[in-house]
Amino acid sequence: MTDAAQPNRLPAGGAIQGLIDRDRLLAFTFDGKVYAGHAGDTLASALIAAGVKLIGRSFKYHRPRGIFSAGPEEPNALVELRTGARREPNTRATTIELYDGLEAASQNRWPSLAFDILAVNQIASPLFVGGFYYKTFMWPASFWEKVYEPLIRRAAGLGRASEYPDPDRYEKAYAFCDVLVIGSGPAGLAAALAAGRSGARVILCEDDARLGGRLLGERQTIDDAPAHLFAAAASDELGSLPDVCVMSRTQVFGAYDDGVYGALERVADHMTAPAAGVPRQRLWRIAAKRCVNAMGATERPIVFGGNDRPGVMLASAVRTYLNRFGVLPGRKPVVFTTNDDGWKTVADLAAAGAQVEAVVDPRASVDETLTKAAAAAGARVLLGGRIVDVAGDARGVTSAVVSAGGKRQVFAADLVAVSGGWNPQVALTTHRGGKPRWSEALSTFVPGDLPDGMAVTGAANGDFGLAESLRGGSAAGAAAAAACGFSATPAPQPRAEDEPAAVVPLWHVDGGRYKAFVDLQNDVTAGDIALAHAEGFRSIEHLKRYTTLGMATDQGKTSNLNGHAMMAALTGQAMSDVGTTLSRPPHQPVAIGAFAGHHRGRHFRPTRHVPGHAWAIENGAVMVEAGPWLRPQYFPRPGEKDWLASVVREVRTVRSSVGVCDVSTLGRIDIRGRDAATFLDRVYINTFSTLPVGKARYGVMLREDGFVMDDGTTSRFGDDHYVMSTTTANAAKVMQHLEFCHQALWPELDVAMVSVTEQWSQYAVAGPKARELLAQLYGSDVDLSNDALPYMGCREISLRGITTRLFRISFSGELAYELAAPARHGAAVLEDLMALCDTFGGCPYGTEAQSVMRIEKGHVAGNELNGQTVARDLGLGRMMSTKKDYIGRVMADRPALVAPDRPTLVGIRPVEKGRRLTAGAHILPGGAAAVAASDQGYVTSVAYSPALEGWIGLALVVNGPTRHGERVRAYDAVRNNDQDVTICAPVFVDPEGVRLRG
Amino acid sequence: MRIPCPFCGVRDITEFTYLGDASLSQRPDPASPDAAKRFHEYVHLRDNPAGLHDELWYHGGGCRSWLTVTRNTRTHAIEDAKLTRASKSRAATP
Amino acid sequence: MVDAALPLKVRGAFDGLLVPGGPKDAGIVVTERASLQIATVVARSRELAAVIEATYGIALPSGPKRVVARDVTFLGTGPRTWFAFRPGDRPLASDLGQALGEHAAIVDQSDGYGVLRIAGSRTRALLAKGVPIDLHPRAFAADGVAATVCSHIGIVLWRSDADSSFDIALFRSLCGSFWSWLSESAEEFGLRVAPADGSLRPAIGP
Repeated sequence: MTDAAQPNRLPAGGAIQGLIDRDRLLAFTFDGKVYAGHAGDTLASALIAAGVKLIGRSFKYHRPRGIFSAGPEEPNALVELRTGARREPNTRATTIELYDGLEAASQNRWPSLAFDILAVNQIASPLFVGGFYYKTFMWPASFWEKVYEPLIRRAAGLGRASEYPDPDRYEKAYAFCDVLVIGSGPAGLAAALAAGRSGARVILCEDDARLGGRLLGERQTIDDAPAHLFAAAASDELGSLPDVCVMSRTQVFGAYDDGVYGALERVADHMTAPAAGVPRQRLWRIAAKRCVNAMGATERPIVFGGNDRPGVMLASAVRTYLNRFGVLPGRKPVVFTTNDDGWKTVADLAAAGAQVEAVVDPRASVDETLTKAAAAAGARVLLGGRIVDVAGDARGVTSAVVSAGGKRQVFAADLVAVSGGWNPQVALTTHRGGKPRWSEALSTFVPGDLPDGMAVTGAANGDFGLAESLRGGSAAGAAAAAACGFSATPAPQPRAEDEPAAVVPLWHVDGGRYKAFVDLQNDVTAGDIALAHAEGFRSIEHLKRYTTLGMATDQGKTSNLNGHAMMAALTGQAMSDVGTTLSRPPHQPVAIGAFAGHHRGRHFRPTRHVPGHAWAIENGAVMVEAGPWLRPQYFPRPGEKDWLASVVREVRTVRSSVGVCDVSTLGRIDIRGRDAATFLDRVYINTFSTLPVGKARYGVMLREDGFVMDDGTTSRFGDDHYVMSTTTANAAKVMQHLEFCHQALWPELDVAMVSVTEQWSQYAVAGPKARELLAQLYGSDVDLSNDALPYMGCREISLRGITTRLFRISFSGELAYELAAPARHGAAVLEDLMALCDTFGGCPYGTEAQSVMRIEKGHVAGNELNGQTVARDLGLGRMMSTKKDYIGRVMADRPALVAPDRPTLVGIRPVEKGRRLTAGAHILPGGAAAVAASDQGYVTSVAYSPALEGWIGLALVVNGPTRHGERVRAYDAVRNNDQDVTICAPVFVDPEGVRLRG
Repeated sequence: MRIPCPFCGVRDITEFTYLGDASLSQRPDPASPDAAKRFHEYVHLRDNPAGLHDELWYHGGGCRSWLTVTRNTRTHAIEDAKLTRASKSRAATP
Repeated sequence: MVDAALPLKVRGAFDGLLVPGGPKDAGIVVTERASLQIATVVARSRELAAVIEATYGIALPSGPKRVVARDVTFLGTGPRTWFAFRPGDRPLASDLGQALGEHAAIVDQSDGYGVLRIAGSRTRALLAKGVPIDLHPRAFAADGVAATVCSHIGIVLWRSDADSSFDIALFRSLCGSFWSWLSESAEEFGLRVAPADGSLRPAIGP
């Protein structure tokens, strides 16, 4: 019974019918045409069922390509999956689970898959040989960007990425276990069962949707029943164990230090779109005490002429399509194998009703049971033979040319099943530097030194037999559990047989007429290997870069070994000396979105909000990022034409009346202990042990190399109690620095430091009316006079029963206070402050106005505390105590740091009144050429000063303090601003400080 | 990497910040006659051993302790981790 | 207008974020513990443990453990450092300060943190999406405490009671970011917000 829509689907009830759910029919489209498949299909198996052979065009030559494998190693059948914002290029049809409504499209073809104009690249192929990037387009250099690169990009390449933001959600998650088992083939299942039954916490990761691995693709028996039933029973048992977690659709892509493994769970890739609340993919970081690596092996192809034609397929993939998916990839197959395992394909094909034309094996003799079974299936047996060429076109293979016994025979064929042996999946064993070991017996690399805590078992270890996989897996699982303190209960071994698995090495069949491909995905041919050898690119790492062998999505899973062995044959080296290229995580492609997880867009990093955040938003503040915080930048009002108009109004209001600025983001560190004063003396350049209780002092701290680290005011609330403030940006860094000083340098000091940034909300109240405003807030019984709270005084004052702290400090240069209130009351205090502020005609002000006023006062901030300035550069040299040691003191005295011609802080004003200054402009002597040799410093900060009705700036200028009044050139090539400026003192407003003491 | 914090237990590397050579906890005597030279070496000169290396890590994503971690720079294997404070105190007590 | 006769209004750390409600069968149930007095305790003398034992009748844990002394819970968050809290509005920092004197530095942090209780059948699955430590009962004891991070946000986490729920304290300014992570991550399990326990909310709250 053949369904017309699925001509290659094997009928139900036959000898081979697959493990698909025939009751569930799924519709999908490929290149716009509608097809049908079944639940349990992959896109590849459904396409085979539908009779679709041509899936895509190749990377460089646009050769027609079909389905080559049945798993993640697929180099050919890459498609664009989904459409619109979810369109994903280069997805492997062999790993895409079929779902209803799936949309896929072929890639790298124009105008259509069957008729691709760029297939002429095949004719121009001498241009595209190994190293073509490096030599064909070398000259003239100016052509590279404009001509060659666009040309190559159009001609070569694979799918198209979506041009829209990714609509899906990704997550990152952590998992922990005693034993991580990777892979659920016979060895992995046996390991998970042994470890799980012992009571250990086990995680079993399986890339596939279904557990079983090769058990699903072979006609083997375990305990006299079909092997897939063993997998199903094991799956059930593992699911019933409370501390075993089975993670299907999860690929382990990397092995990292200390037993950490990276894994990608494809949560919703098997459906049209993720359900609400469900991520598309989840990136797991699994910390495992022990790991049993049972990732299995990948079958290796053989390189021969035309080996890329649609219909040339790995022999094991043929068996998987038959036994697991119930589809027949060809009716007239030829089997080409170097090993006993490949012969199984003959029997399976015959059982599915195919007429096997021939089985070709380069060995002169093989086990008699193999030849007998092949003869029984009606296949010609050609020992000592090899396939030289496969002929075909976009419709697929048409014939195979076999050389055997000194003559060539042509077999009509629509499928060529190839097996060159099996390569254990060694990648994960090498991620921490382990080198695989060459096995002469298996003609492949097997795991060498393993990461700590990892054991490899089953086919991944080169143990290909079913019985030995089950036995080895069970032992590895039990040993891993035992290493974690769990004793495995002895259980009877399942009954299975080890089938014959002898193999001879054969990498390449020479002498064909057609191009022979080593790397199908990158279009690297046998000729390219020879060319690389001839041109001296013989080390396998050079070979890789020169030819692109082993790059891109499949990372050489089906090509590396053949390519390396072919190079070894050319150089005459042994494979054990050649080795293999270094592999790094990820073992399989992982979407960037999965690495980002929740952290993208506005969640890129956590954002911190002050207690007054909602008030600021409600009052129209434009917010700005300040470190991790959001702060009001300015508060625009109707009619103000731009930000500058708002900022000017805010500054004028503060200087003439009063303004309120939220400064809650400043770091605050509570410092207590008998030695608190000593400690502060050691971390600040100035002295805090002499600070009276009830006073605040401006302090500067250095790094040990003598450069300024941070500044701020620190206040003393008791003999043993200070509160330090830091800049917003450096709060965390300063805390870490202080902890270092205490824990690593002076642990003997009695000092305790706790960050109280979050405990307090803090507001600057600045302007001539500040005291009046606060008097109204606190009430008449609180004395805020100059005597009671002088400049640089601080006090705890009760506000309606709540303890607040009031600091008489000023960043703006006005009469100013900072009021700190416990955070839960922060919003209420702000609201009250603003209500009072309104009655004085005052306003809230943001970071821009704050910045203008600090520049007007010549206060340094982040632009000047830039890691390249010492205290003297900033005019703070007098603060450096000579009576004590402190962090940075010795190094700050280095000759270069005390040199008088260091760039030092000055003010600048434009010569041409009204000209705008730009920060970053370089200072050159008046009339000097704009060359680096003339450079004498640069402008750090600029502002429009409402008080001076013009632009002002701060700059670091060589010999600055001696040059007040000098006219120099401020040259800003980046912003195209070149003008003369006059150097002046860096205080523009109230240089005597009358206002702030008012 | 996973670092065995003496207080918190084994923790993922994302919780830690690296500072560098553990000699940074041995600040020179600022009163010594060759203080300038000794501070120059303290601030700028580091050994870069291939093998075991004592280094300072800050557990800012955990207990906020500074740790002196002995790490094999060839393998990333961590041989030891102790509170810097504790090792300083021991060194200070004869 | 400002009315000096009225007490200052209180805004909780999660105000405007948590809205009670959600499905009955939710896998995650979140409750704000809005009624805690919190203080950081840093030992200054070796006698602190003895003084605490004499005053509160408990052995102060030297590791990341939780002990409860009458109504005060002490969580070990670092060497010589504890996160102490007590339900209700009786000031904790000043009480501790009086009891412990010179033996410890006590800093009031009642306003600095938001505290959530996370309960429900999928609690561990939720926390696995943000917390890089092993919360399996074999690895994280019933009296376990961890100063760690969740989704890049520093937290103190402890198993609240014998059941499978966890309490998490984090800096107040980060509650919005934390909630966006939590609510998104919990969506697939179903999320219910229970009314805040206790009440710091005065009658005239917002």
